[in-house]
Amino acid sequence: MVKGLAVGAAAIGVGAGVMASGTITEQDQKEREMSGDEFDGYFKKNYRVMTESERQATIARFELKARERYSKAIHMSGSLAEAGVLFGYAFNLSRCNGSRKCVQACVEENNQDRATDMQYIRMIEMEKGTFDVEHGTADYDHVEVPDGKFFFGTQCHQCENPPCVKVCPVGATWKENDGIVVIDYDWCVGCRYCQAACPYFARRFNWQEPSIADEEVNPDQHILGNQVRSKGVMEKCTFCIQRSREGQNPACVEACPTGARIFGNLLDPESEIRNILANKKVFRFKEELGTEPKFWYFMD
Amino acid sequence: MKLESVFFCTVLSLVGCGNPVPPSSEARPISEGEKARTLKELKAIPVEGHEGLWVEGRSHQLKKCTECHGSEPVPLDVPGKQAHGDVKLAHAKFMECSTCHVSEIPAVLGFGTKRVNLDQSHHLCASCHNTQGEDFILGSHGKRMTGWKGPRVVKSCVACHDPHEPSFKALPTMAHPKIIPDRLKGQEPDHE
Repeated sequence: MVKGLAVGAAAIGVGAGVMASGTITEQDQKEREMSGDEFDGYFKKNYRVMTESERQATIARFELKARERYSKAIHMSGSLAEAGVLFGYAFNLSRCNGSRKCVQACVEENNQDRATDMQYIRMIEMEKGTFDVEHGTADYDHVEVPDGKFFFGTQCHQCENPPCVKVCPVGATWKENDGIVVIDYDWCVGCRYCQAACPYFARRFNWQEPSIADEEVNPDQHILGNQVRSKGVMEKCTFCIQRSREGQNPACVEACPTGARIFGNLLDPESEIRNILANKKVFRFKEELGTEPKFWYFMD
Repeated sequence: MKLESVFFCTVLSLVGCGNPVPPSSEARPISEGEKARTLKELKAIPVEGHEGLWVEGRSHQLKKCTECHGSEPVPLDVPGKQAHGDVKLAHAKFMECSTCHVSEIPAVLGFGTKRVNLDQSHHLCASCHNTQGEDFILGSHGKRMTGWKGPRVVKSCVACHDPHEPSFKALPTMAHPKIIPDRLKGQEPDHE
């Protein structure tokens, strides 16, 4: 019924132009379908409360839109959190040499806006002897790692007690069962309250329509992850939800040339992440705020 | 008044009061078939004494000695120019070829009375670098080749560290991000 209404409404809009020419071209047909889809889109619910069929329809709609926009065969996944999985991450401060290969891999994997140089991962060069990031620099450009410095990488820590989720006035962001904090990009109103609440500089905002060159788009997308966003919505690291839910490591972990990044399932007692938490002196950033991040730092 | 309550109910019904938890799918452990395929692809060698840990095979990446030499063992103490004599050795001042290549057959490495082949070189490295060896088993040193779900296959020591010249050359860094957007350049406040 809604679909009929939608087609009707779209027809009224498109029909005026069509009737003038007298024939319905393929382009007009496509436009009619697209605006019908968009009409459906305006009335979609928050992703969390959708039924399974509504989710499938939403994913199909996004996939169609993406294929219209880019030449690659975009595949949109809606994979769910797996039972018995809670993702955790560890960062070895003794290994990182500030190459920013992680940053590059993340941008390529997650379809971020190239024009504003949006990057989820921020690498901060720090003076040895302090963990106060106010004294670090993020705009270093060294080839050799200078003496007396180490590198502190930060991105979304996927908190167990996330302040961003608490403050969202519309409920557009939430923590999934496998621990990843995700955003319903359609539901987000772009108030940026989450950006203000996050103590880890994790959240990014699209001040303009994201622009990615056609050949650089990553076609393997997830509806709650690296689908191409639009102007006015928030985005952030999702531990590469499109990869981690398929058993792969996030792009940053794969790309790190020194093996400084470790990822795994916190609920698996034999995982590397659990080995590190049990045997290394780990700490979390801004622990005193009670956000319970699932991102640990350690030194060897 | 009525309009407001209708609006409120609509919002609540769309958002849901009390944030419903999204569904999870059933646990999907990796199949034995896929595990076996991954191990075969990477020519993974199980690490002695550590179940569930494999190291990437090395010998398949190298030419076999017999491809150039016959089946005779190659003596290492022959004076004059030798093939592979162009290997520059810069690994701790006291080390010589025979420190690791203890046998007449250079592909057999060893320390003390223990002999290992090229696929088990991590035992040899760990015999001096024992803290790194422990960290290697734990997972904080080295790099995992498989995803978090797959069998745990790690890169061998020599995949990153050249055993003859282990010191790393500087890695060029990617350029820094645009901290100040272009439109605001020139208007940065002064920081002390």
